[in-house]
Amino acid sequence: MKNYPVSVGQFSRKLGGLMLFMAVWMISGGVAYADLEGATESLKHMDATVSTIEDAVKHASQGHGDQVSSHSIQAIAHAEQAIKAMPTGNAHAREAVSLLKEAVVNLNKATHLANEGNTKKATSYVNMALDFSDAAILHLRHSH
Amino acid sequence: MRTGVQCITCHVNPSGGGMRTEAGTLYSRMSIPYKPSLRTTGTKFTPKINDFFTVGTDLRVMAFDDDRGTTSIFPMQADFYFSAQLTDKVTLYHDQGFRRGLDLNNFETFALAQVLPLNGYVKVGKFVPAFGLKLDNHTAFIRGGNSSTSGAGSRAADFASFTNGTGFSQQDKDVGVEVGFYPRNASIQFAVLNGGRDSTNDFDTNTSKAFSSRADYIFDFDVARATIGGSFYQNDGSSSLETLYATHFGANVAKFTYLGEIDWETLDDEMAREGARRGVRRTASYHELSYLAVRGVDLKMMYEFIDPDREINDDSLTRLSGGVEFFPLPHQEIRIEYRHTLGNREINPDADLNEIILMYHVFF
Repeated sequence: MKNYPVSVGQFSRKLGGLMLFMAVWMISGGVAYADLEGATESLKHMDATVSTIEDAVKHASQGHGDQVSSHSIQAIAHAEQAIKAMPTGNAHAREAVSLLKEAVVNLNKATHLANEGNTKKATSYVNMALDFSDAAILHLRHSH
Repeated sequence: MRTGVQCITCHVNPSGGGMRTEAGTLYSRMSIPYKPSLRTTGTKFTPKINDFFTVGTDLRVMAFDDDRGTTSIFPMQADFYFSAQLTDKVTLYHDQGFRRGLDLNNFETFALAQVLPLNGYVKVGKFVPAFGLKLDNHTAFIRGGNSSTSGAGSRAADFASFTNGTGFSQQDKDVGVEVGFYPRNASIQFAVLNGGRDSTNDFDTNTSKAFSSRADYIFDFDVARATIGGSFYQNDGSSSLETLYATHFGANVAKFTYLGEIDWETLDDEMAREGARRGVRRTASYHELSYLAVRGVDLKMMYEFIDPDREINDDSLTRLSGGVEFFPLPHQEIRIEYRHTLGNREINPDADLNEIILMYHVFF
């Protein structure tokens, strides 16, 4: 049991806290996340990107430079389509785009090295591209 | 703030800090480090033991030097996390501190049921209340403040709930119930707590309870992000009334990120509540500007201010800090920071202090 009354000032502070909560509640609109438009389409292209890079990795381990190059070029095309279809205004999708762009940079380097016959060095870039693409898929799945 | 996502995306604890989620682990492997990698010894890294149990850690070792003759290397944090996914919607979480061996008072433990509408949850257990920005620097004036002094020069030190800062640091765990909602880009949390603000005290000896609430909203414009929010805490204890307000805000444009918080605190004991003397009124603020030079390298500048007692003239402190955070590899951080605290040393012994901090941080 308290021995003192709650002052008007304290009541105002409690009211202030409640009003702050109400303001944020109203701004938010009280609507849950909906599925993101374009995410399904983008995920399809990203899956294709990953499986094509996985093929490139297999060929790289066998020293098939020409196959590494052609698979990397195919993977770049899939990645670019995935970027094009990516939803906007979502933090996960934005992160996925950033990671896919890194994957494309690495695939371009792998293609260049494979064309020059340096398949061994191309392998590390293909592996790095696989990591970036895998990470991009996981990010988009979090938002989907 | 840089990514525009809420705490719950990367942390198991919806109000932030501690164990990372799958998305958090992914982010700390592929998006933060200078040399990213998804794999360890050729296999994709995962902190999951199996489909139900996950582990994690935060280990911070700090080398510290100031111009008052203190030079030390010490473990600032050694926390191990464990979570169990009991059902699709219920998680058991435990964060155990081992900084000084098995510290039985230094733990955070709760059950989290994600069963409410609007991506909402109920959290029951012992935890740090959601309040303001969750900074890793517990010595920030808006958190626990400097731990090296006893707050001399401030009448606030007379109060049971006194800390050298205004807000909640990792030590300020309390027992209670928290509910939270995440409608769209908003987050809202409410908690009813014992009001202990002390890791060693799990039992409330009075009938009144503490209340805390925090809300914010993230505006995401794709090319830029901004956030604004507020927090409120009131603890009507047996001998004093503590009321704390805060507003926090932030923005991210290109490689620049800004974070800020301003706190206002009142501490009234029974004499103050009866009008026999004025209670203590404190204000603190924190402003941080960071620039992502290249991936893995963050340059940071901080400005902090605290007026420990508005009744006492010339006791305020201003702290200017700057440094580099370097994330060379996944889950690893090296930080170097210089801090200078301005003020009147005759009134506040924390004033006129130079500090250099070197920290190694391992986390997953």
